[in-house]
Amino acid sequence: MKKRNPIWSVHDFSHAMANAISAVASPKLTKKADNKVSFNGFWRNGDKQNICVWLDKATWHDAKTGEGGGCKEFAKTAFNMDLAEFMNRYGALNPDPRSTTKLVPIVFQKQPSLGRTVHELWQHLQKVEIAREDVAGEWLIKKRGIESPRQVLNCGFANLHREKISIFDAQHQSFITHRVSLAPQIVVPLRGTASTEVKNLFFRSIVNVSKEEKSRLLPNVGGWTEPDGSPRAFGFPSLIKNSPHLIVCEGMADYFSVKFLINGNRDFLSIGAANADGLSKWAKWLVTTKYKGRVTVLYQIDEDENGALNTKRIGPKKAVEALRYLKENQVHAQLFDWPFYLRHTSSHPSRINDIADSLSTELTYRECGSHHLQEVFLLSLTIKKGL
Amino acid sequence: MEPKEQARLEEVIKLQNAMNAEARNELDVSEFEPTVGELDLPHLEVPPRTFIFHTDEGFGVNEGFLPAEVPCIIAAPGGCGKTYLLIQAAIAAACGAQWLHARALEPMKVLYLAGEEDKNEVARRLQSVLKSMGIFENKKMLELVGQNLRLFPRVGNNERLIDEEDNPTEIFKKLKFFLEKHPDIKLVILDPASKYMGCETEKDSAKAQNWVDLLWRLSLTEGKPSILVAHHTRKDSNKTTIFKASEKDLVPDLSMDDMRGSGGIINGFRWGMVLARREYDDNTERVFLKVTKANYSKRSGVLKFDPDKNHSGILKFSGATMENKEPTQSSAKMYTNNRWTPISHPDDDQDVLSKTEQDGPLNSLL
Repeated sequence: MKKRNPIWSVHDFSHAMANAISAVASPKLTKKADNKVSFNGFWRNGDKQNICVWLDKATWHDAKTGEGGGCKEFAKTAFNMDLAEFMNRYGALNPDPRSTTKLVPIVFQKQPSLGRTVHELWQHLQKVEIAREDVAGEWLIKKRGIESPRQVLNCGFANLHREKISIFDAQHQSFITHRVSLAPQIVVPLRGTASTEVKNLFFRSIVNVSKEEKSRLLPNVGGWTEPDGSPRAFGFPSLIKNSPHLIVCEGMADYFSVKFLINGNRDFLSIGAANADGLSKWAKWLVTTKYKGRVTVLYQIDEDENGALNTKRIGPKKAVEALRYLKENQVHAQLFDWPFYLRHTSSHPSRINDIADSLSTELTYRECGSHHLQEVFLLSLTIKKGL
Repeated sequence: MEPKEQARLEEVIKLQNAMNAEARNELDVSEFEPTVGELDLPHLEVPPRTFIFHTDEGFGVNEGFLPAEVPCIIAAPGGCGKTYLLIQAAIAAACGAQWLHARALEPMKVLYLAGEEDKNEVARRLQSVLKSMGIFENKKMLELVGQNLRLFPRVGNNERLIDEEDNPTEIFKKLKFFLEKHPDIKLVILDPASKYMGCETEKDSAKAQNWVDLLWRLSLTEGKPSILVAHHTRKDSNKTTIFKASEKDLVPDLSMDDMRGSGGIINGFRWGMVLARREYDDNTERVFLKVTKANYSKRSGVLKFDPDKNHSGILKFSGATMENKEPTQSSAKMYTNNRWTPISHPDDDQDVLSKTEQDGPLNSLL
């Protein structure tokens, strides 16, 4: 028989919503005035104060996406929980369904901190990696076609086991618990342009979950941008200035694939931008810092709703913007030579929309082998330019 | 690489060129850049040209008659029997049978849109043709027709493929999508052409060209079907004339100029055939056909067909002739009783065989 939810009051909902916000949203971006709380959309890595909760009504609205509603919708959207689960986690202890007690005023206080920086967290995650089952490594080998990922990716990833929850600050524990409960996670570091210090952690589910829950950054430690406005990325952006040839790609999967394909060749450095829009941001940064090397923009071959290709889709569009900006500012830049690469590596180009697809397609069809892919990839970067 | 994958690769090349041009703030002119050598045209592996129907030239040699993969047109005066003839073509293609003096070498999928017929009339004509072609007696052939032929009444629908602004209409988009979804369809028949044209297609040469371009877009879908349209000639008045039976071998002057409408219609098609039907004062009829435009196959002389009254008027090939000359004896072959047999007059078998050996039968006649 289906278990019935207790009858909660508006006050119970408000209380739970306020608790949840104070546990997860960025304290810097959280502001309370009377019954209204404004904060960032932490579940979508938002870094602007554009969510509002009205505690007197237990309702909310996201000014960016237009979403909103009551506590149930908030639980679903922000935490992917049903109402009962949400109330159990963030509601009052032992809630009395008929309780009419007054809501205790909620004070947003900084959570107790263990004082670890993100970089230290990352080091700690790597330390406890040994002697545990390497689910993420197996996933990279078997599903993504990356051979020996522990070697080629310089241990740039870690697993997230349940016992690691305790190494995170209290403010992150509900977030980490939620990620662990969703699915096995791969954790990948993000770094800035100033040093090799890890600035944030990217959590990605390695089994199928909803698109909204697929990946998240660690909240409250800055997203894809440094406080000085410079971008963060997968890889080692601080090495850019000494690299003769930079490959800028989109996201974790493409970054790992490029790392595998350049196979330790020191003439090339790859970084993974947040998304297609990140390509333009990196182009601007490269121009600002007067980068002297060559840039290859590795875009994703996005299709329109009919499966056709055109320059208006987000991947090609942002790549064109980046390339144009780089060229206009005298930075040597080129698009990744997709036609050359596809022609020489696969008889199934329709299955390849990004460089990560190339490896997984090879895994499926075994057409030419990973060494051939690596050779052709390097040729695609240089052959026409005689470099 | 599969054609679909090759097409995708070409799309990626186009995308990359367009992106590079946009990044340079230039127009994308990459389509004009490659030379013949860069495209490797001299060594490109080209598949042999294909045809929907073939004539038998003797000694196992088949000659293409109706080309595959291109828009084709048949023109005839109104009431001449175009629809009947085209349903025959559809059935013959669907079951690998004979049409006119030619034959489909293998069964294929066919789509026929009958723009002037309702459901009953379509069924009536289909049954009549099946009967006259002897398909009802051949279970296997009947099954093939059932599986391979899509035949739809489209009377009362707005079937124009192109609107007044020369944009493709919804029906065009549906038809193109359907052909992409069913690349095994190799022959599409649109009957009559006027129903599928735009309002001004017949009057305006530029608009006619735009319409034919749309037919090309259908032909260029993955399955590369032939698009055969049935059009009218200007000689509608011929049908009222009764000719003398003694003039049966006088052939009418048939040319592409007989086709109704602007030159743009004629120019865009790769293959065109004109029909004329004559009635004689001995109550007989004769149908004359001439392939008047054939970019990829031979043009014909005038082909003569006599309706077979014993078989619902199906056209029986009775010879070919060069225009303005005395008619030559026929040595073409008909496919009957599962084999090709020479068509000949009762007393000239020997002559036909010797001529076949000298010239090749239809080569000497077409």
